[in-house]
Amino acid sequence: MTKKPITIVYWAVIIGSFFLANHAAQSHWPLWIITVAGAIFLAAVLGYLFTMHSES
Amino acid sequence: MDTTIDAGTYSAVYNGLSLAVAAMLAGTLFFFFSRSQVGFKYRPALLVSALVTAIACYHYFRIFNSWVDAHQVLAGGASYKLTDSSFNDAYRYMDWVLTVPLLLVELVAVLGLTKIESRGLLSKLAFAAFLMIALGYPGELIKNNTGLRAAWGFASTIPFTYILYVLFKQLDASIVHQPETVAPLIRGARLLTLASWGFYPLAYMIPMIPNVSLRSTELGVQIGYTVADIIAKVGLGVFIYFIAAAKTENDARNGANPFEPNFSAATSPA
Repeated sequence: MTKKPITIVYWAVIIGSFFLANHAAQSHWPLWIITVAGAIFLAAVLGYLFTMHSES
Repeated sequence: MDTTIDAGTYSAVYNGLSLAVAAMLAGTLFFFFSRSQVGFKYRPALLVSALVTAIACYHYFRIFNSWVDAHQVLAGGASYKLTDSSFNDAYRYMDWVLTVPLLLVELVAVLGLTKIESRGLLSKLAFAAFLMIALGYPGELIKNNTGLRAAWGFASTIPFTYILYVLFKQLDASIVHQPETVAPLIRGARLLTLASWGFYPLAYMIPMIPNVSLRSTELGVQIGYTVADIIAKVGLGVFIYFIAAAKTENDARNGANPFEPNFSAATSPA
């Protein structure tokens, strides 16, 4: 699989989890939802960095 | 419960949050546009720095708006009363959950380590930082139970201690391989991270001080966290830029072209 589709998936997850966490904060949803969304965001950022900026 | 706040307290928090928005925006622009001035393999570090300050800028904007919406000026302008819109501090938690692990990511990313070394360090540090925030913030919401607040604070200290261990023991092994001009900068960035992170527990403990009014507590916590955030995010980012620039210069001095995309593969030590 080439890097371009992976990049799109990573950025979709990064942006999606960001907005989920933001919406949870705005709507006074329980903290665990923000925490889970934050964990997904972080995993996607790390995954993106590992995949896109590794020696290939 | 006292629902009024004097104009001085209101303005101090208002101006502190406003300063944070400006500092984070300036940091984002600087880090993003500085990428072309550093070598190819150090650019992810500056990209992460820009991402951190961009996320923080957005959240400070939301926190600022929430602060304004939560207060209404009273006749005469000497004091403010709370409105029905409560001040929403959850934005701060969300910001920390996303950005604090990334602060450690940018510190490791600028070292230009081998893939295996950096993956190991990044995973450990990012997970510990995430855990530190996830365990600490529930205590932040507890205003009237000092024991429970302290318990959450203590739980948060465990991953923090682990981060200290990794930064001072395991990172040292990597720093000794860095060029002479770069090693002091990395040690400086590490110290800045630890010093700025030291502000957070202090601000966290303010509500635990007896006989301090709730409004004074709010002032101390908001200003304390804001100052710590500006130093930890923008200050560290500037350090990262200096490290990346020094490493780029060093690579060029050694005869390589650090601006080539395949530079890391061709010249990486391992």
